Amino acid sequence: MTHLAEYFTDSVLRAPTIVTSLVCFVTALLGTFIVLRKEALIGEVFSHMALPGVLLALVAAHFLCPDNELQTVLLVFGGAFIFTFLGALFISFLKRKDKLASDPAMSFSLVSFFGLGLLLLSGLQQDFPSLYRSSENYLFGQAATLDDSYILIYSILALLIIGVSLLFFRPIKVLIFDEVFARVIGIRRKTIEAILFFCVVLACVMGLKSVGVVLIASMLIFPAITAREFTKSIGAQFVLSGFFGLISGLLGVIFSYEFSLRLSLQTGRAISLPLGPMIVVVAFLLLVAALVFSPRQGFFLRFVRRWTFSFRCEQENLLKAIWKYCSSRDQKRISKQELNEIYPAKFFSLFFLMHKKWLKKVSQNEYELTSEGILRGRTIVRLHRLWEVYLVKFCKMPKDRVHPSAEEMEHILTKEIEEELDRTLGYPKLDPHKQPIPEQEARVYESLLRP
Amino acid sequence: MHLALKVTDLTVHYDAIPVLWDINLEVPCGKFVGILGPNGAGKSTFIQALLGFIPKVSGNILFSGHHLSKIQRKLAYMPQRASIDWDFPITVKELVAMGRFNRLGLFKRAQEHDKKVCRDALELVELLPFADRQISKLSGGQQQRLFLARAIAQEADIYFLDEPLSGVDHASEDIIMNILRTMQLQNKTIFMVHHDLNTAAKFFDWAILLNLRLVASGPMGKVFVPHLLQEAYGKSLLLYDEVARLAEKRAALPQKGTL
Repeated sequence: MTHLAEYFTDSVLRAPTIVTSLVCFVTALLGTFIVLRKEALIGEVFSHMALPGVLLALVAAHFLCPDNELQTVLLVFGGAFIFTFLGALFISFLKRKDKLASDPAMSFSLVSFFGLGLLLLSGLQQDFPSLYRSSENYLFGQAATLDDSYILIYSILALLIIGVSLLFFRPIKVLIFDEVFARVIGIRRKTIEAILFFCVVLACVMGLKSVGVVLIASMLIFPAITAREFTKSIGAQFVLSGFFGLISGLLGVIFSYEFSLRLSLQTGRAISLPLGPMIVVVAFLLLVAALVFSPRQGFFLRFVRRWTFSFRCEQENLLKAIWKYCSSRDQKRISKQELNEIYPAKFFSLFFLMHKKWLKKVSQNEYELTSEGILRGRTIVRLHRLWEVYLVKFCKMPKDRVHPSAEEMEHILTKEIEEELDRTLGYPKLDPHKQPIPEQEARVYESLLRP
Repeated sequence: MHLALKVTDLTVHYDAIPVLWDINLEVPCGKFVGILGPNGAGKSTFIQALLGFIPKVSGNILFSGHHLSKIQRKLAYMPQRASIDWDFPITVKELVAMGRFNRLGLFKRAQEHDKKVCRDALELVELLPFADRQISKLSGGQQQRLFLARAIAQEADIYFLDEPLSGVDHASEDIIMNILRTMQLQNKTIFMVHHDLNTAAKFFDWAILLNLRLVASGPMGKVFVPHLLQEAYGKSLLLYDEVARLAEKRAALPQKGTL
């Protein structure tokens, strides 16, 4: 296993690692805006629209600067940028002039540009087979071919995107959330949208040669959605999304390198797991984990909450049964046999009641309710009966149908609601089934203090 | 007497269909103005045209004697509830802070004073305890009060509210109306789109009665009279509606000039 630091120091590994992480980081930052604008498809659209630009630039580079790789790359970046930006203008033109909705405008542009790209590609395949092969490096990413000179280019681009999006964070936020308000306070929609598109196009272009321009679209979506699960504010989502993007990129590099190495060693053949797809897989797993564990709507927390509630209900029902049994006989103790008759409890439930100090074991065969246990049991019964009175009196429910609801509400109602109920109902003494409603804790204490 | 709003010859079109024509009116400062009229009378359109969201065909609009571009920072607008994405990741506190952006510009950081204004606005609408909640975690009435708080934080002179009482519970309605009355006492001019005629007489002291054209504008006592209401809400304008719909159908076909 390669040490983590080596990914940043090793002369072969460091460029792919740093470049990929940077690309994923800035793309994920912008993803927050894109997802909130409900234009998650835009990354996919932009990256496909870059195709003709990439190919034309490759051909141009073939004639202009055949042996200079750095110039070729810059030319390809330029070509991709111009075509994608043209595409973005085309989309907004379609939306404005033809009143097309967002998605048909986007898919129409995607298909037109991509079709053009495919035409060029087949021409390239016939006339320049070598260019055809190198075009794949750009489209699907070939991080391994990156060397240190790229770190500088990518850092500059990344800084540009980070700087611009931080500088314009406020108008972008207002514009996405409330376009009308943005106009009232004098934010220029077209300018801000152009700036945002500029950044997104740039991020997609950065995907060329590193992650692959096709898969970069996932970085615009996954981290932003993952981050949304943990935040309630766009600023936090922005930062967290960038963080998740960074993690996806970094882990993608590490996994793809490590797994390739192991598989090659095991099978004896040279196997290389591609980086782009690996990053997508990591980002996807992060998203799944977030959906399961998130505090917002995570399955896991919801499950835990439901489970703890039903657990508590079970314990409180046992306590209630003991309290009812004891208070009807004016005693505090209950034997094991009696307990088994009224409420066949599990050993664990009894253990829990004792842990809560509601019940204590006085002898081998006998339990005794503590004063807290008595109070708690009394409160549960009280809430149950108060709720029944309320349902009958105000909701006009028939007497014989109020029990199931009360059975649940007795575990939920708070002290404040209890007082409110008591007052609204005029301090009732009996429930609809003519059973007495136990008095409130405070008054119980008072009566104990009285001589 | 200062004029808060002076509109001359305002006409607004949606494509080829006129939705408001030839509107002339004046409103003095410090009035609580109800914009009244039946459904589809162009009440929201009127506000949006005033604020420049919809291009006008003709007309001149002056706020306190200035054109919109000169006085934009002194105007506040509260949108209809429906136009908001409530799932947007933004907290109550942040939303109110937006109200300060017209003063802060795009880049300046909020100062202590701005924070205090926001806090006071939240306190006024009784939402301070919910400052850190995400906005979808509020009830309908609370959400409406929140947007009122944002408008208050703008410290504007003229307020435009688009049906602030729709879908609002009774308690919130009382809070909102009390705040608006207090604001009026501070010589703010408030324009409010409202559709409930039963409460209109109680709320406003000035009325603009619209139905595609201006039916009447003036003090409540003079405008809110049976024959004018009949004119605005009566059936005489149904015919126009019919024609407008026909024109719309025609517009769905290729228009002149694009052929």
